[in-house]
Amino acid sequence: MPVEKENSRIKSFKNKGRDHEVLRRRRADETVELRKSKRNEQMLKRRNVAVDDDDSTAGGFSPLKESNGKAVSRSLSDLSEQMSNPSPSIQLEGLQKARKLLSRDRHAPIDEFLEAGFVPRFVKFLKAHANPNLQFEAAWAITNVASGTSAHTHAVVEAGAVPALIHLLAIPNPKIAEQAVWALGNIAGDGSPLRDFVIKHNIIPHLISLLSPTIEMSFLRTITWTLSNLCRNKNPSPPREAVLAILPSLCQLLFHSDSEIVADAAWAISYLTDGTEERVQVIVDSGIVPQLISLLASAETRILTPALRAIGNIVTGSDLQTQTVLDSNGLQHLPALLRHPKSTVKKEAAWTVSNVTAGTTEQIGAVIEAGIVEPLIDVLRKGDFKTQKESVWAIANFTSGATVEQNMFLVQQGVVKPLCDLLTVKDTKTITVTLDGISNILVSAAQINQNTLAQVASYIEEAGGLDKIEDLQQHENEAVYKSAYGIIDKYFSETEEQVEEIAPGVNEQGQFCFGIPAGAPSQFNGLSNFSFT
Amino acid sequence: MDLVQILEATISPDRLILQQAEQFLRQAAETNLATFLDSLADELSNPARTNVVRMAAGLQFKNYLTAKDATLKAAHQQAWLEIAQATRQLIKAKILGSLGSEKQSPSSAAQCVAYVACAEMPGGLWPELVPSLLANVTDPARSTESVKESTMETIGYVCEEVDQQVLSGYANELLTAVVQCMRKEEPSIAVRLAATRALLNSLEFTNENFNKESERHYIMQVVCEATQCAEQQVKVAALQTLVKIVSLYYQHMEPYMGPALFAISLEAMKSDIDEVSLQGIEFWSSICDEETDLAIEAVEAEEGGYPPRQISKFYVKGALQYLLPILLLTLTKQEELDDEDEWNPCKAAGVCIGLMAACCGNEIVPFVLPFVQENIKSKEWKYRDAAVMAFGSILEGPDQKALSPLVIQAMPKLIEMLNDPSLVVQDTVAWTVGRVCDILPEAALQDSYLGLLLESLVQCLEKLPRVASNICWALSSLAESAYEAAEAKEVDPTTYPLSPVFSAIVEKLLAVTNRSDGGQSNLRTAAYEALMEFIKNSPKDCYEVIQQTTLVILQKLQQVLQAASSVDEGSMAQYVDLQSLLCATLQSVLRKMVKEDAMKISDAIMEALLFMLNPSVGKAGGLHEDALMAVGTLIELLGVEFFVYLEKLKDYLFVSLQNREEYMVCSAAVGVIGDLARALGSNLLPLCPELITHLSNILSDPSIHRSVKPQILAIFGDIALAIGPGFSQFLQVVLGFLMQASQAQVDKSDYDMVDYLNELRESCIEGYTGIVQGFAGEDKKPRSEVIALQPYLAMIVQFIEHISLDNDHSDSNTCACCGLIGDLCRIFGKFMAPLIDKAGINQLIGEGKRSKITKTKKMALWAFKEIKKVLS
Repeated sequence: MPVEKENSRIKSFKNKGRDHEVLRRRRADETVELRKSKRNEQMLKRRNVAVDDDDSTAGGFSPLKESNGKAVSRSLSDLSEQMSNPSPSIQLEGLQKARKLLSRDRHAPIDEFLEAGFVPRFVKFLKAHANPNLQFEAAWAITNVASGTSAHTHAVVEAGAVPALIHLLAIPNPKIAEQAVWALGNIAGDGSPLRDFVIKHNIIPHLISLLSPTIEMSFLRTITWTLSNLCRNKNPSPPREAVLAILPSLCQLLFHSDSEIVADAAWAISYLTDGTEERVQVIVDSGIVPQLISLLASAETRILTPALRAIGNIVTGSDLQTQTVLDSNGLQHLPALLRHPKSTVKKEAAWTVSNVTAGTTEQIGAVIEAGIVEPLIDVLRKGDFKTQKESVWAIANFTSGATVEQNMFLVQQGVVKPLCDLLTVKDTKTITVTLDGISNILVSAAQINQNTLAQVASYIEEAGGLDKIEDLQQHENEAVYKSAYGIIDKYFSETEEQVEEIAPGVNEQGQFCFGIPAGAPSQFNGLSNFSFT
Repeated sequence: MDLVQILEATISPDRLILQQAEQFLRQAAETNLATFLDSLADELSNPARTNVVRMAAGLQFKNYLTAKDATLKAAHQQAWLEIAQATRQLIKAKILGSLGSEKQSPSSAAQCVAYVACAEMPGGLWPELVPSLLANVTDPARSTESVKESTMETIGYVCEEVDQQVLSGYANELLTAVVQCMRKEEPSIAVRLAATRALLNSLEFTNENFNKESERHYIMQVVCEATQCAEQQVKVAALQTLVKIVSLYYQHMEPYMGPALFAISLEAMKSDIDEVSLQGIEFWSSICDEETDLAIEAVEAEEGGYPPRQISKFYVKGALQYLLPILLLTLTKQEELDDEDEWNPCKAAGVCIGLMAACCGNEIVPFVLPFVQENIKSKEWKYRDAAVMAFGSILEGPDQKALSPLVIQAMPKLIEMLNDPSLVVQDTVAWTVGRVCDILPEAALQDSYLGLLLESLVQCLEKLPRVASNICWALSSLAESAYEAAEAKEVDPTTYPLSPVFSAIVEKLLAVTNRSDGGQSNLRTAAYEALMEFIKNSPKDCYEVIQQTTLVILQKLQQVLQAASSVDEGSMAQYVDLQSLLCATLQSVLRKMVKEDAMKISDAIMEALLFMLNPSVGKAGGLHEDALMAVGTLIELLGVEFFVYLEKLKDYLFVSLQNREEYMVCSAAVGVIGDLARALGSNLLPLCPELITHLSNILSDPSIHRSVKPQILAIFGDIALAIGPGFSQFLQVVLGFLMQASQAQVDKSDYDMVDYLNELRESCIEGYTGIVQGFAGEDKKPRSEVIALQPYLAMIVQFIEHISLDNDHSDSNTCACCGLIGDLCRIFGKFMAPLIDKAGINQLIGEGKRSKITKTKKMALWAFKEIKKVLS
């Protein structure tokens, strides 16, 4: 009996679940954990490996993600003293400790370091060309400081780090160069002003000259990420010349076999397409659109997401720019994307479709031909609300630009019910757009003949839409009630007297009706021949 | 005396007569079970007998076919099956024929039929049963009201008791019968009720029927209709059935949610009848559970790069705007003097809102906040209480960043409300403040009101137990949060914001533990738990308080033990719990204590602990467990100094190792052996033969709970590490166990078993590692005795490869394996070259190097270097 489940629920009420036995189990689990770690410690001791120290040998991991087991507890003045010591090895030790403290996942003491005036000293170490180890550690420390808040990043720039870091890009030590690229990426990512500051210091030719075929994969990833930050942010967008200089490399990187690189390159393109029509045209002219489209078929969400964003941005442009996407068969992947398991992908796909359906009648025709309508109505019906919102825009745009026939096709595909369902949401804008869609459909139906209009009107009524539209006449928002009133007045004024039962889905015998297919009910009525097989 | 009189005597108020009757019946059963059961069946089916006689006959019959204890039940069923087939056939016909002939319900015959079915159906021995039950319902010549009712009762019992797999073959017939009787066309309420309860019990094995659309439609229609029945019992049973259906068949619910289930559940929630309203709320709590699980599954699928098995339909999110007004209103319907342990709609609504917050996150906030703001200052306590309850319930789930400013803003008001005139409000506020301390520590630790908060909490410890208990939990969370915040700034912190009041709070908590009403509302437990949290989470500048507290605890323990002889039976349980709590507190102070201080009082501590481990205390498994954990902590603290107590401890330890019924005690004792090994090193050697014998016995006992086994395998490693080559004498026997465990296989579709297998394997690796390291010794150059292990190395490496090739192995498995490979290479050098040059090993090291866990990564890199040395 499910009574057990209810009784177990009382354990979730206030602190009821914390009884003697539960607490003992917690103590026992804790004891087991402690023992296990003691055992491990003992075994490690005999191996002579200190797992918490010596992390520079591990290689290939991000200093930002570095987990820090034991904090280096030493006051900053000690570190400062060490870093001022004439011996480079003691300097290095101090610098390393500082870097480790700054690499902490939580509560990295960046502010304390800034206040104590460490940043200019890090910058000075960047210039210690006789000692690459110091340069490396300093670049790492700066990377960590620059990854903090905007104020932290600015402090790094004010200390003169940018020219010193760019200088390091030209030295033949890839480990140091990579760290410098990383730091510069963090700085450029702060926003438009610092991005342009870094560009002014001529970072782009340096970065591009690093792109040799023999470059290490991790280095190439870092460079791609930094390039993407150079493309990022608007108001203003990056300088046109800078974009033109980066674009050929980005296009190449988009064909790379490593998914992280492709993803970052695609993000870069997506940033660049988020701008004026003129800027979008630069991307279209580069000939990269077909490759972006082919990335829409990627199984990896992290590639798919930026590629979809870029395509979506392009189709927000002029009808002509939209057409370039359509000409490269750019709609072919959208049905699958609308069915994607991730709701954010669905949402972006619906948004993309909405920008295409805002186009010409022919472009709407292309949407129908690509088989997009069915999955679009599907997400309208049961996507999460954000996705529904985008898809209702797509539908409304469709209905306003479509031919009468195209709109009737939409009705045949079952758009009416999900549209009507959306009329009870809280979001006023969505309701307005939905009403526009319904209104456009009714206009189209009326253009065909009275029968069609009556048919569509009855669909709306059956879907419970009429009641909802009637209710919306009382809506507080002016646009909503006007629109609702307009529809009722124009198309439903005679059927108004019908008052529906309140309880949904109960027929006159008080039976609940499920979606039993036509023809089937007789089978359920006579119970004498009823069987579950 | 004849049987009728005897049966009548079974309800006699005269004890003597009753005992005689019972003895008679027992003898009759022992003499000839078949005859006895047959006579009982006669009496049961005889309409001329009184109700009492028939019912007693049925009860006796049932008692010889089933039992609460599983072993006894199996024995009863076996005895039944040993009766000649013809006799059984005859008896079965009689009891089956009795269905519907009794004048009262529930029917005794139904129970008899059901329990015979339990014995026979798994072996396929009663093929005519189900058709006969079906005919009872469908054959107009047979289907009277009482026949149908008792048939439904029978099916209900059968579905509850018989294994689902056995029943799935009969699903169609049983379901047809049940649904037929459940329909609204059925005139008898009693039949509908019995049928609805039967359906409730049958849902698990009818999944095939639920997979077929037309059948599902029909079942759902009938259940939904039953929820509209005017008779409350039927309505409640139907709603319970819906609740279970939505948990079991969530994915099929879409066609019914909008048209029916939504309206039905809402209507139920609004009902004035508690049982109905509870089911309405439970319906949505169950959906919350489902959708929260599905959200987790979606994240896992996303990370694993595969499509999720099922997807959430986000019903809760969509329904928030309709559900919350009802739930919030329900929160206001509490009674001033309600029973704390009674489940009612008001409590259910609170829990349901909490589940919704977990399920929907930020989206719930705008639906709840206006209610909180509107009512928190209400003149009526019920509304104030509901407002605070609603606020406290949504703290977990929404984004911390979104909540934090709201909570910081609310805290001064909440602190003030700790002294609300209403006791119920105080209780809820105390709980809510505790939730803040636990979930949003930064909002609790605000400088601007932390002082006031602490002061108010301490004052409120004097309030009634239900309030004070919640205050204790709040203090527990606060201590933990404050210490964690300090730890983030400094390893082993010197001080923290609670230091100035630490001593005062500890003193106050100790006083609460002495309260005479501490037994109510778990107050004493909560106070001790808070005390332990404060001790555990204390910075260096509170050490002095820890020292003093240790002495206080020890003193209390001694007092309690001295009172042992004067404790009467009635208060024994409470007395044992108190010892347990003191033990646990002792453990927590010991964890903080420095060795020198512990040495001063270790004699007294050991004396107290051994007293509690005394087996004559009786079945007090929990206490023994706590005492053993405290012993373990003392061992760890004293190190080799503990040796003086070994002789005294050992007998108690052995007794605990033999406690198989309370396996947690056995497990705690096994853990202590590991502590002893680490603390005593080679000093443990003399005790080892006995220890190994005990551990071997446990491993060879098929009845021992499986969780103890991995622990023992790892402890072998601890012992080997402690005594080095002294372990040679046990090598054969221990390697035998390890090899056997290495070959274990489990049902891979059961996630718990996959986890268990990983745990078992890791313990084997730890066992091997301990042995290898122990034999090799601590010097750089391995001892010569290590050569004894060479014959087994190939097998060990093979085992590692086996783990590597199993895709379900854990990261921590990888780490342990890498460590052992490194050890083998370091110790056996070139000898390992042909053994480790294997794809599986390579793969494992590669995987370790790519691990996200730093420790695993480093272990893999180290192993890689060691392998390179061997192969170069």
